Amino acid sequence: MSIAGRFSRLVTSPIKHHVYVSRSSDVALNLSIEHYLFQRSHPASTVLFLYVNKPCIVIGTNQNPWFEVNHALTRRNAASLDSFSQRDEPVPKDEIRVIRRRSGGGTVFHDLGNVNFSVIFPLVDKIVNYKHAEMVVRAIRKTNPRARVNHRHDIVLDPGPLLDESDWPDSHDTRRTAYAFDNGELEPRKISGSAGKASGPRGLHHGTCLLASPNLASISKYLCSPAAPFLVTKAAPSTPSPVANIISQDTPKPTTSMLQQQIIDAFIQMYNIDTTKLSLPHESDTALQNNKHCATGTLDHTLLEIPEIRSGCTEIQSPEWLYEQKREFTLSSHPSNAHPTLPDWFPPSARIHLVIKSGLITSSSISLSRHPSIAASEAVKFNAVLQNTRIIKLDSFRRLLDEGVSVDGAKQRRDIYRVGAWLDWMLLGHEVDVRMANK
Amino acid sequence: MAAIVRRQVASKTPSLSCAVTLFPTTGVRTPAWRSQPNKTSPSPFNRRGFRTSPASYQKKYTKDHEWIELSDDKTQGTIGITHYAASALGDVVYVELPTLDLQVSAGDGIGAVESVKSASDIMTPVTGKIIATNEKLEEKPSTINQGPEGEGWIARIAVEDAKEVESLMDLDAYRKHTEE
Repeated sequence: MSIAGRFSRLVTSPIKHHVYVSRSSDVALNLSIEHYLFQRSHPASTVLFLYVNKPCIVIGTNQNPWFEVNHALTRRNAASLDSFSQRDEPVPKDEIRVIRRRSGGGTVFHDLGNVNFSVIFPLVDKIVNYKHAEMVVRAIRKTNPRARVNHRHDIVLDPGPLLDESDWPDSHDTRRTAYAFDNGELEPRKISGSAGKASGPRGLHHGTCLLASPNLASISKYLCSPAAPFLVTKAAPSTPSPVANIISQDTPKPTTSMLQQQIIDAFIQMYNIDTTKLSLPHESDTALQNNKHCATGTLDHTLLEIPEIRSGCTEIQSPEWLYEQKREFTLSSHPSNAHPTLPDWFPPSARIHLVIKSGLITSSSISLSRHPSIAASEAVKFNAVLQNTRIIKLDSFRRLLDEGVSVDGAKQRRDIYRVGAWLDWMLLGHEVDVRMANK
Repeated sequence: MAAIVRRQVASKTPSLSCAVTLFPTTGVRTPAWRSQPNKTSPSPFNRRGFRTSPASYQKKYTKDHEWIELSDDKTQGTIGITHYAASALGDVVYVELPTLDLQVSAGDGIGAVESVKSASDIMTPVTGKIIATNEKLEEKPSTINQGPEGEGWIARIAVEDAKEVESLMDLDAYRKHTEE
């Protein structure tokens, strides 16, 4: 039987515990294997799945990608990111992928220095209780004793000095450490963010573990969208947090596979799993094996033979899945409750307001003139071109407006070009060539 | 601690909304208890008791903590999540509603709520077609916490077979289920 066939048989079997590690660093494949485990594993089983992804940004299922991600940077700057394992090889010039996952929560950054853990378990009362964050803390403390779970179920490092011995908490307490949580300058730094999903009898809790990301300094840049101040959206928000790596200068340097091994050990200890006759993924690279209590193995792209994984992978990579979620939002050059700074080349009298739903411009109001009657007729002209435009099918707002809107003189042509350039920047992540905009 | 407070707040809401809907259903401008203050007319308390008992007879629950309440003619059902689920989930920050006219079978996902970074699927307890959704939840997801079994309803469904509803748990059975 093929690996894929054996895997699907093992996953659906009543074996109580499963431990899998992915050898692929493809975020779409790993999230799709995870989703398959979530949907197909036996309702009474508990599954641990670990994976590492190439640089990518992963947004929560109910988030707005335009609000969360700096698209211009993900397009351009992929090349300048360090690649953890291949620092001496040329970094591929492709874009940093942006992916919408199937769980809730906020936007996170993955790269090859980040270990993702995922636990799938029987749900009690609809609630994802995040208790496995404590399991992960026990694993991380093998490397860094400053780790603890915070009130948001994230894992943070206490940055302060060692406390007096009389103030040390019980060593099993995963909510407190023997270090001050605040040294006056530094707040606790987040090393792991978590998110969950619940459906019928099954719950999923997954999270990141920044072990040794070379990209810490640039993460916030990628997650800071220039469009955000101009958007009004009811999408689920992210909570920005200062981040850190688990590895610091004064701690030993484990590799991602060592951290994975420590998480597996903590899982086996937590559930008291009998691993007789099994070699765990870090001990041998063999594919699937199992005893009566536990199934384990390393997974890779051959699982694409499983139709649900293949179709899940196609769906989660599609622009429709990322950009055409149903919830309506607006993009305004002059939002009513704020005054974000427009670029200096933005035509001073221009006003832009787009209503977008399911990735479609459902209505627009764009004008260039200060005079209300002229502005109203301009809005009709622009709307005729923009209404019902699918954003993911568009190459350039500049070209669309240039070809679609009739022009009255050179100044108007320039203004329309700039309006298009601003929309390209906000919605398509095209960086604006200011020299062209100034023509 | 916060969850307990929410539960208390939430449990007040249905009796409130019930009192509000009481007057329109009397069909008279002056509330009955004012115009006919003699002993034979039902007191508002009794009247409320009279209104809720057939309704609760037609209100059923699932083990996944959804509720469905049938209309008087048994052709439509209103679906939501229970007080128990709402207080356990915590502050709801996002509600995904089903598409209108969606044809669904019992157990299908018809939407999701997000709270504490977790997205929870909402299933329909019965087969039918979605005929209305509570769009207020898109604007104000916390409505679910304030009144999960009142103004925080999620969707209305044209019920194919009312017997499907009758086979679900009644309030007593559901209470027992949550105490297990």
